[in-house]
Amino acid sequence: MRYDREWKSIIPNLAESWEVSDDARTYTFHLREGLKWNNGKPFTSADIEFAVNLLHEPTYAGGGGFVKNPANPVSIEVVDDTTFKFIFENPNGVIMDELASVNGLTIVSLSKDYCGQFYPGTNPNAAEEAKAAGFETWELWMQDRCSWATETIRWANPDLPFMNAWMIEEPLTGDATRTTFVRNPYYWKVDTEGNQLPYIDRLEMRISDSLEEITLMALNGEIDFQDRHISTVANQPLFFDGQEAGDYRMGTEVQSSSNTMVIQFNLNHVDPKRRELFQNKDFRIGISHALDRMEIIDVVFTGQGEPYQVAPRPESPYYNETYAKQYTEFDPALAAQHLEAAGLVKGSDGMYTFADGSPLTITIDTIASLRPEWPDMLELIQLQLEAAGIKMEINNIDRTLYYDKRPLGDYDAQVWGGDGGLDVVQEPRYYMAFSPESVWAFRWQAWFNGTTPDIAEEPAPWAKEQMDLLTSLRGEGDPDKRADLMKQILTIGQENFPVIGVSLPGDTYYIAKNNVRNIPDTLFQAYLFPTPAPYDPFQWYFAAE
Amino acid sequence: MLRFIGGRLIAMVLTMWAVSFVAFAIIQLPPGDYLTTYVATLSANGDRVDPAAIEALRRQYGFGEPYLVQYWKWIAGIVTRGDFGQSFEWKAPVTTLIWGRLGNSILLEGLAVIVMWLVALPIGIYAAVRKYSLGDYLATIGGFIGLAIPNFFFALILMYLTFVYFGQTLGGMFSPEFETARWSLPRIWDFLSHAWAPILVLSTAGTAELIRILRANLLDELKKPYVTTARAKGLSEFRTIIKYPVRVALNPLVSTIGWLLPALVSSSVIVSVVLNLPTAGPLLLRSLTSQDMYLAGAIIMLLGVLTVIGTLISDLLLAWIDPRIRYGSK
Amino acid sequence: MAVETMTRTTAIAEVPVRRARRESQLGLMWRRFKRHRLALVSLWVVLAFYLVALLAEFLAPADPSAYSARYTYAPPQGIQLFSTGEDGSWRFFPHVNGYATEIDQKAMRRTFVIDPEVEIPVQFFVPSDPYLLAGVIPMSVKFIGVTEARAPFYVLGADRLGRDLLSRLIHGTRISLSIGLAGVTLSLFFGIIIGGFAGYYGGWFDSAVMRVVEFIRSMPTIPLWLGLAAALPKDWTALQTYFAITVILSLIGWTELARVVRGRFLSLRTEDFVTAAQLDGASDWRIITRHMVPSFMSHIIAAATLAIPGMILAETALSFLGLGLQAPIVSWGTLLQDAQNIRTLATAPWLLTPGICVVVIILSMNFFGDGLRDAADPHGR
Repeated sequence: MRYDREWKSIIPNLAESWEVSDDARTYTFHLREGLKWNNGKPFTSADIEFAVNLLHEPTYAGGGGFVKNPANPVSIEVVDDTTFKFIFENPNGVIMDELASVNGLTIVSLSKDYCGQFYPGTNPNAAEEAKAAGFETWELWMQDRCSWATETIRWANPDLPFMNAWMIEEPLTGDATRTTFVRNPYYWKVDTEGNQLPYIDRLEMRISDSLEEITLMALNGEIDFQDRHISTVANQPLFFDGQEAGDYRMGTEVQSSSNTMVIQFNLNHVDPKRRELFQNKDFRIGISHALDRMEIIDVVFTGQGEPYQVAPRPESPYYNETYAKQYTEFDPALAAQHLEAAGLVKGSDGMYTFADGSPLTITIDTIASLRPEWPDMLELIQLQLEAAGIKMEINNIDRTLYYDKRPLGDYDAQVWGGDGGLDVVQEPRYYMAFSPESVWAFRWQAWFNGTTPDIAEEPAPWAKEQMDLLTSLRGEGDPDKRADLMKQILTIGQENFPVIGVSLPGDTYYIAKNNVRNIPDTLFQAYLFPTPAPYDPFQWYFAAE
Repeated sequence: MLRFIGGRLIAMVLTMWAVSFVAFAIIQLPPGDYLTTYVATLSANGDRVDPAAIEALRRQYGFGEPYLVQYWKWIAGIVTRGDFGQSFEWKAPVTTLIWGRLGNSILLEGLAVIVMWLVALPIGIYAAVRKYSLGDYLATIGGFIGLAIPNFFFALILMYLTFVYFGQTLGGMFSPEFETARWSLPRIWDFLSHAWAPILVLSTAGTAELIRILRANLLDELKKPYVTTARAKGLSEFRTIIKYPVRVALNPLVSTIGWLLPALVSSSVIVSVVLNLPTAGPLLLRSLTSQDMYLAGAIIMLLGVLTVIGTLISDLLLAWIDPRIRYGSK
Repeated sequence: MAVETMTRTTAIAEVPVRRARRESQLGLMWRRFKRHRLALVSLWVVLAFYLVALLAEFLAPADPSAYSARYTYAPPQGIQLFSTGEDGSWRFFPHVNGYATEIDQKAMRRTFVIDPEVEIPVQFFVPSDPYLLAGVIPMSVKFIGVTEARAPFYVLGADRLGRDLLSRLIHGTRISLSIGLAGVTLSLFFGIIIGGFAGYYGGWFDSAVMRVVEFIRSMPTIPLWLGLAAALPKDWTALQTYFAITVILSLIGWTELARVVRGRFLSLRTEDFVTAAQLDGASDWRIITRHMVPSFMSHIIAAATLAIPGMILAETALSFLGLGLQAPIVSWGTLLQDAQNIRTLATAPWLLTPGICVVVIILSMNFFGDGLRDAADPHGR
């Protein structure tokens, strides 16, 4: 399955068609006839079955998405070579989205014929052979040969069978300076005139630890297509000026993200005094009004974007102006009013303290290496909040520590990007306590997801209501009813205002050489989508000079 | 001589052991391990990670064991089987990853050493012979400027200027078409057209130090009576200087190989990151941040061992040149 | 009688002689140092830099973290000393010119044109918000500034957030120079103690120390620093990291100093005045601190001076790799890290000024150290 180019509906890809049972528990898929892996072996239901079985192994950590979801176990039933059924224990209304997104990749990317040799379930000698090959266990061997978890593994094995339009020629290894791909001779797509796709014979990817090198290469016209890492706001003037000299063009990319930075106060703080404060909606409204968002947009984003809360983007069918714009105006008087309503008291030095007079300093965690603009924004916010009487410190830490801190629950606030601006249903982490990425309510989501029961806490009634709604959404087969349930979840989110947003991200850009054709002028940029795959790179081509 | 060599060899083995221990200690220092980093990456991508699977992995990797046990396993593997362990991130034996990159490091650093000597030798002699002349001052200032410019800064500016004025990007060691080709004249030419930049950056920093030492040594030597005698006997000025004083002044320079190597290795880490050179530096940096400990440990250790071997070579050379060292000091 | 006269004459004679000798040691050194003109100039440069570091708050026209949306990437204004009247006449009127700004939405940038029509007067000792100089002396006047409220004053230009580069540079000077100084002090401490004892006692202790020194010096520094810096607890504050970095830098720095000290000790150990002190029954500690250390202090100072540039460079290198100091602490290293991208090189080259500062201070320190070493050497020219 895949998304269409507008990211509105799900269209057939490897599967030609599918049926959903009325209770939304059984999904029957019909694969296309004659599909082949790039080694010429047929792609059948057996491969899907193999993938499900492998991912069900509790000791195998190779990613797995919905197959591994403990809340809704799935089993597979093979009907014939091209027909199979997923049978869920509970109704599942979101599986099609999951399969169409980047998370649907693993399940169709494990060839039983090849990967089966490393799995004890299909090869009884797998454990011994793994030892002989120098791996402690079969799991490690499997991960080396057949995992799709991270880039460093995914492209490292040239023997790994592919269903993609291109296949590995030179793999990605620790000492490689490039990775190359060649056309998959067995690719199953043809154009309308019957020409075998893809049009482009060979891909070459540069491996570089130096962003500056890549920037210069793009400026010099040595890169045919690039849309991540170097296409920053800071580089935009540079690339704009270099277009003619480098013989490339810039196209628009609309971000799926709803916000440049989300401030997530920890509603489940282990310190009761702070928990009470952060759970107080007036406190969050006060902070929100104390932010001069226009100033941040001006300084950090050269005026690009608009003040925005963490709410669905204007392009989304779930867009709601009130949700997007509430509490975004900069109003120190209103801020003071709300902060006082939250029980804070102004001390003699003009800074707010707790009601009992004990000092209040908020520490906000951030990762500079992930988004360089976050520390810049936070530095501005620090000064703005200080003017409003709130002492704030920036804690720039490492990414691992960021995650380590979450279960401990003693952080004041963390920041992250605004995921879920377009992918509202798939990624509602800021609208409700949805996943471990809902850092603002880590213990509530633990209660909901049941993955880490030792720290789970019973959520507030409104949060629980959202969870109930989501559970019924997941079990709802009718798209209209699902949309309606999602709207209810959003309304509760809007009323309770759990996280604070700053601004709507402006469009970014991709860079393409002028002779690369068939790329739409405007793309959606999202990891889940996943850009640029839905824009059919197999139909891109080099124009003859 | 044999006794001297034997003594140095024993000392070297001891030092190598200490290097391996320190290398392992350094990579153990950061809190957490590779799996924390791995889980962080996976969940940032929105993937669910089963705690049980992670626990199983942790056992398989042997993370739970005490420090000394882990160290013993690692070092025993290296000594007995030449096995440096697995790289977690690349899912491959460390040995398959590092040799090519270390080779590149050695190639670039070796070339840089040669360039340094070629430049420092004439300048150092000139500066000593024409003491306090304009040329002496210029040479000293020029050398110090090379020393004073931070390497990464120099590399970046070089990269940008080459782009602006020659329309070329300097990164990497080869152009794409020569990346996997066999060695041939065009490929060597292509290599040089890429490698001049890192070699230039690497050698500027060390040249100043070499000039300084050579000049000081030569000045001491020129004051000695035998030089005056030679002059008095009517030897040409050129021969007077080159024949003996320079040779004597060069002796202590041999010992610089010892400190030249660690300094070069260090600066090449940074230059390689900026210019995206496939040397050991960027791999080390990446493995340190992702806590890919056996890979990081192996690189730190091998760089240390390289230095130790370099020191040994320069010690032996010195002892060969100068018998006093063989039998003196100890 | 004769005896009395004798003592008196000696007493009379001795006082001026001793004073003269004392003066002569330092004075001799100073005279020799002065001959090295480059070193003399360097000394003044170094002193000037440290003065800037000391008076950072007073000299910096703006708060290093004060940002301005209207002046992101504003180019340097420079200071014009004279103003030209309409009739072409000149008059002394220090001022900066204002900017004419426009936003280019397509290219996402502000374009600045210096507007010669707008003249903003520049004054010395302008009143400012109260602050504490070096954290102690309360003051409310700045060395230089503009009096007009909200008028731009970017002598050296602004960075990506519209912060004044000059002010950041001045505050960065304090951090970078103090890290060098603190690191060297720490190295000196360890170097003198360890090297001193090794040189004084000799024997197995000496060889053990020398093996350790050799070992540490044979480790390539950057991987070692990388490892150690990566091992710093990630939840430390910027200030704690700052101190930790200093310690890490001096962990390697002490070895060179220990070697120098040991060498001097070895040669001094057999000198007559040391033997005399030993025969007098002075304790080892007293001999080392009272007799030996003062006699080669100048050498140590020279060696220390030559070690500072290495520390400063090391800090910039660590910051470049993202393992050094972290914002909001401003150092030359973090400033250079901000500037190390193609965008800056292409469109805001003034942000490279910290690089020039690094080069200048390291040149000066080296020349100063060289001169000092030459001057301290009694057998020198």
